[in-house]
Amino acid sequence: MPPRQKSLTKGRWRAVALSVLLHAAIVAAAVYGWFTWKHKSPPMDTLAIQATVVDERALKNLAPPKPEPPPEPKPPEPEPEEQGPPAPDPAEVEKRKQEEQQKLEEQQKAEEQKKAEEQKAEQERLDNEKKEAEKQAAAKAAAEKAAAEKAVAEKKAAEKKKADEAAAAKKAAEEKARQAAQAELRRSMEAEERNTALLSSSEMAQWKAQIEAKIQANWIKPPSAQTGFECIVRVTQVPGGEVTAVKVDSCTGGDAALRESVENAVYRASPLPSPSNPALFYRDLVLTFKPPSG
Amino acid sequence: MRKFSKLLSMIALALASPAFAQLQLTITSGVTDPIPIAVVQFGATAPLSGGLDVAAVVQRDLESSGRFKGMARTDMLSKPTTSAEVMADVAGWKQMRVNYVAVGRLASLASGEATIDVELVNVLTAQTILSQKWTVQPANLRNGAHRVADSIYQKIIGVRGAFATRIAYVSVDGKAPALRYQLIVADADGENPRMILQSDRPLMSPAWSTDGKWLAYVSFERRVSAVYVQEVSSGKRSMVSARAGINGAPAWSPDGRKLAVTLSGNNGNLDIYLLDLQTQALTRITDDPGIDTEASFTPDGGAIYFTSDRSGSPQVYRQGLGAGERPKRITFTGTYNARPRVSPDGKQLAVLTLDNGAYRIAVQDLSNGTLQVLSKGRQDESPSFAPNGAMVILAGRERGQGVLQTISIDGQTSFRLNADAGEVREPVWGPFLP
Repeated sequence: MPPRQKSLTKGRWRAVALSVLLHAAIVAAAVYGWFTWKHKSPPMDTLAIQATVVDERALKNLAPPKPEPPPEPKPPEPEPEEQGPPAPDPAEVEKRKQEEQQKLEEQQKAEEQKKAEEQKAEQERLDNEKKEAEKQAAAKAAAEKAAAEKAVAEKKAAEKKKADEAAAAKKAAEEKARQAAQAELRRSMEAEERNTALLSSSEMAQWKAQIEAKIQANWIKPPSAQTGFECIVRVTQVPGGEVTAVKVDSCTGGDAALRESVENAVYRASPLPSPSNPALFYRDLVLTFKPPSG
Repeated sequence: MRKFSKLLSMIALALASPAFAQLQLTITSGVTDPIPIAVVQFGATAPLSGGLDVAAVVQRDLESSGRFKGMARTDMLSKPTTSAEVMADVAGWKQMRVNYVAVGRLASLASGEATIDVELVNVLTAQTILSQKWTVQPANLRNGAHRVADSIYQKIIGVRGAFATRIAYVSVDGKAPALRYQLIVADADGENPRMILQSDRPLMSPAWSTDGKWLAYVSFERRVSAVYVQEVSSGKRSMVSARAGINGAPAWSPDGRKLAVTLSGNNGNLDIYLLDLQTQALTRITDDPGIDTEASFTPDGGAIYFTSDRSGSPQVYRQGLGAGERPKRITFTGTYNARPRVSPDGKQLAVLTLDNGAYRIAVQDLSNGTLQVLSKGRQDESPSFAPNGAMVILAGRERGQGVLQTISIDGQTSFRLNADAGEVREPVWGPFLP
């Protein structure tokens, strides 16, 4: 029994394998054909977009079928267990033929159904993809819009930062200038105090009187200078009292002779008396020549 | 904030620089010391006729004003003739304590004329302040020298010099009864005297016309007094008033058309009249039983000052020449003020005053009436202003002789003029010459 069964089994396996092979070839051809058609149908640009956005799962579903049916036979269907007695009889053969035919039809039906389902799934997938693309486009537009808005905002922020920094720098500079001015004012006031102290000292009074006396002794008043004149003369002296420059700034109510006389007076008085305290020395003097008041 | 800091810095600046770095001094009085000047002997490219020392004349003129002190030539270390040479040693001149150095050059032109080139250097400021050239006839070189002095004086003093002007005076010589009277015209320094009239009877009261071309005077050549006018250059003269009684004290109106004269008429009452020289028309100016005489016109011709004893003693009065004007007494100081002469600017009056028993020359300020005695003699007389108003000429007495002297109106400087001829009287200073 076993050998017979074996040989019979052997012959049945061959038929099953061939049948399976044939079905597989048909399915493969159908799938390939559908795919070829399917692949042609979507517009290229959409495809291009899709290529960038499809996810891994979608890509797996889309894995193209192998151009040829797999060479390996499908694992045996549960037929061998269902196999009846090995002795075939024509009725049974006919029945089997019918069964096979029915099976084939069922299989075809199933194939068609599967195909329809696959088409539906594919349509859904396409719809999804389209939706996804739209979504992606919208997202992209939104992202772009957001990016543009962000750029504007950033630019504004940068500008504001810059302006703030400039304002701060300006304020700092102004503050510095103000402080410098205040320091200068303070220095001036201190200098004034020192000068006031020096100017009001008796030594200073004495020195001034000495200079005035010497210039008066050397001022040969022109006869034209009687009343109502005033000459302002700037004098520069060096330590030791030598007069190095005399400039008649103004001479109101007087003539050229008066101008000349006051200028000469200072030169004639050179060297001017020196102060007893060298710290009192002034390089620049301003002399006012005028008639005695009263 | 910025405004505030700006304000602060401005305040700081204002406080810091000028007020502190400079010492303020006030000079209210000066001196009337003469200004030291060196008038260096002028260079001459060719000997000029007469060989006049022009620089010496200039120096003497300047010194006579009382405003200058000339440096003695023996003290000069060099004899520069150009300002460049002076500039080369400004420090040296300064060391000699002179303020100014005047240098010059004389030259003869082919035309026979002489040129005087003068430069004036202020050695204190090291600047040439005058550079001028004169062309004169050799015979007028002295006058040229006076003009040089005028320019230097004006440049330094600020007032026109009056050296190139003339004076007139009366000189008397001989012994009574054989006295000889002469009317003399001379340069303002007394040099170059020329007799324009001679008489053995008294000549008095010479008066210059405003243009300096004519002299009016009183002559007793006809034994009685008469007023004459005489052209100085030609000697041509004419008798303009020989009325009964006294004809005296002529004074020219500024426009030269009229003479103010003192007439007594037959009744002997001296009053002042205006005599029109063209028409001989006579207009009475004063009418008072006292003596009114010695008229002097104001520069604008609108009034006269005169002497009157109507108050009991001689005093000066002013009489406006407009219709209906009343005489006004001007002098109140002392018991005797006479012979008024108005200054060229009309602001002062020179008078003969009795001062502590002596007759002296005084100047009264017409704005406030103060009288300042200038001369120091005992019998001074006849003041007359220089045309620049800086000096007064007068006649004084030395050892019984009348002499001429000038005196600065501040009374500081008097200068005796040379007059060879005997006793001199009644000097009058002429106007500026063109």
